Amino acid sequence: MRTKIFILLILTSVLFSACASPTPTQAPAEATTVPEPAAAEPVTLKIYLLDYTPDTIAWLKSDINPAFEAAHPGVTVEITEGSWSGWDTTFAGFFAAGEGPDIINLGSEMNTLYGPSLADMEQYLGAAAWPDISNFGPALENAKFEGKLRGLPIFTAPRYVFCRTDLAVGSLPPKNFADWVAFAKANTTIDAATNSLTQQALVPVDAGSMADWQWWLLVYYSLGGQLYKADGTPNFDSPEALATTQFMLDMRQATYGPAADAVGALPAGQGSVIDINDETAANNGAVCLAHSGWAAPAFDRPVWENISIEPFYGDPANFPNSKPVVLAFNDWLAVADYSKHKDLAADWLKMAFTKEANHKWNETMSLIPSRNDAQYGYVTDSPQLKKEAELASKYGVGFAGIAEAAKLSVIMQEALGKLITEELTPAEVNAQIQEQYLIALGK
Amino acid sequence: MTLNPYFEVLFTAVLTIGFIIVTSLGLGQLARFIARQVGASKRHQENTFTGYAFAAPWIVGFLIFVIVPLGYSFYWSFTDYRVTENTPPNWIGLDNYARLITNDPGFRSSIVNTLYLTAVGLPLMIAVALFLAVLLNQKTRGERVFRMAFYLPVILGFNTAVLLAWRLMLNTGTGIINQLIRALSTAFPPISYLNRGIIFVQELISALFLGISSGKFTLLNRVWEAGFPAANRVPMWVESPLWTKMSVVLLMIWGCGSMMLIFLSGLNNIPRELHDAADVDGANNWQHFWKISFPLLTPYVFYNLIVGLIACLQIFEPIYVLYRDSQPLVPSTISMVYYLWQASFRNFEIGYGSAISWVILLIIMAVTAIQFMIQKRWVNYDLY
Amino acid sequence: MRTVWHITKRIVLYIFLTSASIVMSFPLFWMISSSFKTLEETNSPGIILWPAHPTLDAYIAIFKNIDFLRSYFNSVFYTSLSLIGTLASVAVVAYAFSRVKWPGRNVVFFLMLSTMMIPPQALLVPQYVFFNKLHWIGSFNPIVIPGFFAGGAAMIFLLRQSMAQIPVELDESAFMDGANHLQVFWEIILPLVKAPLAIVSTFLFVGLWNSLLAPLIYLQTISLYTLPVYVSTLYNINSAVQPWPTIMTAAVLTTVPLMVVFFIAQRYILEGVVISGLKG
Repeated sequence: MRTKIFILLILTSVLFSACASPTPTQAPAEATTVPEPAAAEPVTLKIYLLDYTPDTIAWLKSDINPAFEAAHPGVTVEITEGSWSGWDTTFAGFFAAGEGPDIINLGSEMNTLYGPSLADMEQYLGAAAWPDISNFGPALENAKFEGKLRGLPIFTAPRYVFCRTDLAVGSLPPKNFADWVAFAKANTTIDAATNSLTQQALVPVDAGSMADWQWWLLVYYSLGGQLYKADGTPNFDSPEALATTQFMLDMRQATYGPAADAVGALPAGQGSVIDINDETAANNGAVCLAHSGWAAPAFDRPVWENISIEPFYGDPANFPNSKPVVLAFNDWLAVADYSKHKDLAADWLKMAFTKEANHKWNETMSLIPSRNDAQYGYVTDSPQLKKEAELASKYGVGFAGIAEAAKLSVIMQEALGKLITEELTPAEVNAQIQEQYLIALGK
Repeated sequence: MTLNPYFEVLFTAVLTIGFIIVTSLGLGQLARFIARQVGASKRHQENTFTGYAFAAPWIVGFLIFVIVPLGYSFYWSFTDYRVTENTPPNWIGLDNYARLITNDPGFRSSIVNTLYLTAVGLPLMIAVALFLAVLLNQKTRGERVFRMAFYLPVILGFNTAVLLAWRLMLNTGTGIINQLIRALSTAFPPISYLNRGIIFVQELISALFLGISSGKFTLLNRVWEAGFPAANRVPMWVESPLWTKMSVVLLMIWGCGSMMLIFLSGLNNIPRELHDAADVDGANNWQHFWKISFPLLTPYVFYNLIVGLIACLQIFEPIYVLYRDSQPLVPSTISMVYYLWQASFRNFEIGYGSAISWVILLIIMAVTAIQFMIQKRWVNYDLY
Repeated sequence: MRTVWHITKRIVLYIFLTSASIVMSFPLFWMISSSFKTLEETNSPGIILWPAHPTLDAYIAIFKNIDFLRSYFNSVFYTSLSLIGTLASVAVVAYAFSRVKWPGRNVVFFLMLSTMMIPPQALLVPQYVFFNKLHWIGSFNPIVIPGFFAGGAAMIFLLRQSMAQIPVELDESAFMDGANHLQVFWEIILPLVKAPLAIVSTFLFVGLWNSLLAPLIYLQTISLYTLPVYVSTLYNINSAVQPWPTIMTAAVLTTVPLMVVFFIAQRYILEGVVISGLKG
């Protein structure tokens, strides 16, 4: 009986697919098709995207792709809408097989990871070939490997310190480490009944441990710290590194108390931690948030009247080289080295990254364009985005150029985890990171 | 293929069926031929033919879809292949294996974690599944709904929505689970002491294991020094490295619906006559279970044990889903396969990752072989 | 006998079952409740257990979404096709392992079991390279065809255990009547393992339907995407506001067929196999 149902299902599906409009499937069909009898060999330019909204795709398909195909007869553009889950396996497949999309959407720190397998695009996109390149902001560094351009950055997503001016006790923003620790003590409340936080002075990337490696790097850079010494060895044995780790510990203990207290974190919920609940008028628990714009409330929420946007100021009191820092994550489109159509890829990139195009792409995603001259319209119309773009161009530091980024993240997270549980002192933590990172780089 | 993709796969499927039939018959003939050469009886030859013909789909599939990729993987394990470099793999011999076995504390701690999760999680999973199956076997009203509820976790899988819900439930302060514990503790003082006692013991054991995997016992000292937990302590689930493994175990138990289903069908399989006869003899529920149900369930227990053991040793999803956004907590709960995934797909060292997968395979094989050897003592197949 | 003890036991039983069910189904409840919320409600701070004004907007919108509908169809198509092929071959292979004595059977059986022990992540990259050489990337082939070769050692194992419990005498009497193995398989053994077959179908169906990684790597175009892959594209990691109602609605709708299948299969699973063949 069941078999009959399934056979029926298959038959109906065959009928449906026969009746279904063949248009959506034509693009893939053509891609794998035996060449049609045309004058030129038909070519497909394949693009694999991860940063998009339905509006982005619609715009690409209605504006950019037709223009490109008109300019290059015989070439079809095929966009694959991927997702950030499983990207690593997917990309591993492409590069292992030596075949795949010509243009791939990569994350910020992936320039060192995939660098050797990416095409050198200097001859197509460099200053000599494309004068427009000078309009790209600091985000462009993320798209380079060994000094050569490998693609173009789409947007810049920096991390700021957002603070609730109406909730904060003490002056805002804290401008050095000692002030931050005092701020943390004054603005954190622990509920004795549940032994958990009800208000947290600062929520950095990881609210629970307050020791995420990206946060650590942000603080380190703000002290003027350099990740590598002149000879390329890591710099975790520097005084700045020690001060950063100590700061992590101090902040955590000022918020949660000693590890033995086992204080619980803020209640989990959806929505931004610095926002206000519309119905209960209760705060979500954070006074300051050190994270990307997307962790902050939506721009049309009324709470923005009481939120300040600042960079992280470092510790000028103890480290004169301190500078305000806004750590920027710049996702980008790279051209794979196995691509047989690097010139076509370059042309498509030039088309999709003109001033207007870069503006439009980011408008569909509410992010800050990587081109300085594309930061108009919706960027300047929104006071928050305008301030964010300003800070990004003044203080932006790209999250890039980190050798063996994946391994470093594991090494740092493990060591910093032991810092929080007081298994290791800050000096021991840095020593462990230094030692393990040296080994990882040595390979 | 210029056809649309639906026709394409249907077409390929039909071709595949043809291919399978041909290879099955071919393999069967070959086997029968060999058997004839060896001088087997007619009956034996027929059985050989049938056996190989019927098993051929798997054998052929194994050769094509497993052996070939395994071959690649085996080869890569002797190289330093990094998929993101533009260079072909270099042969480095046994270096990967040597480093893995002697010089990789990360892998060692992942083995410790996996063994902990298996030793604690698997018995609990089987026990809970068995318990639920027995409960559901009593005639209750709405049993279909209950069965569905217990199988729901398997149906939902581990997607982002589920993760969000679990984060809500496991939050230390406001999560449902801890609120329940708190409510019970304030209502009944003995439960409060029980709760704190369990927390203390759990943290000690957890710190002990963390110490074993890292070689340093500072955490254990700290937990001991902190003494008996205060009155307002509750489990910290996803917020402390001491509790990460327990939260994973919780998730494992939550997903035991498949095992429960197998036990249910096994319980149903037991002939009513046996239970009726026992009733005549005046047996109580306990005896019903231990003297009749359990012995006849042993093949199913064995099945769940083996499949569960292999699944536990390969555990990855619950850990990834719970802790992918809380990186500092990962080392305390990283499993062998998570470590493999990290090497292969975050560091992109496919060569090293391949070596890891072979070592994992050997470990699992050893453990399973032991299980099979001792099964004769306690598993009884009905009439086999 | 309705003693007080009995009644208390029943009440405790129901309380326990109900509370356990609540814990087990809370995630689904959360998904459903979120799907009825508005975008603002899901992104607003704090936890809203049930929206004040439940709205069907997300559901209406998603039924107008061609990509979603097509993914639904793709899931149904690929799952059914793969299920038939896998079920058939698994049953055949299980028969070989349980009802036929042939040389090397034990060796091959353990070999099969050991394939269960290979961490699937280890095979991902080599299989991708292999399928790439066959030019199967970007089609349904890599996720459907391997199933036809009795992919799924655990299912073979399960069926084999169940078939092993059937008395040998049944086969022998059939052989004496002149039947061959194929007839024994089709007419005697298969009907007797209806319940295990139902379980295997359920497990396979759930596994295939929810499978994310393999379809993600191999399908490559949105017109081919199955439901889990499509839902994963709805998240936008860099977006200020996640379209939670849409995502949750899609997730809930993804679950519906599974629940239906399970409900139907329950009856077959629990009608059970009574080993009364001997009594005739």
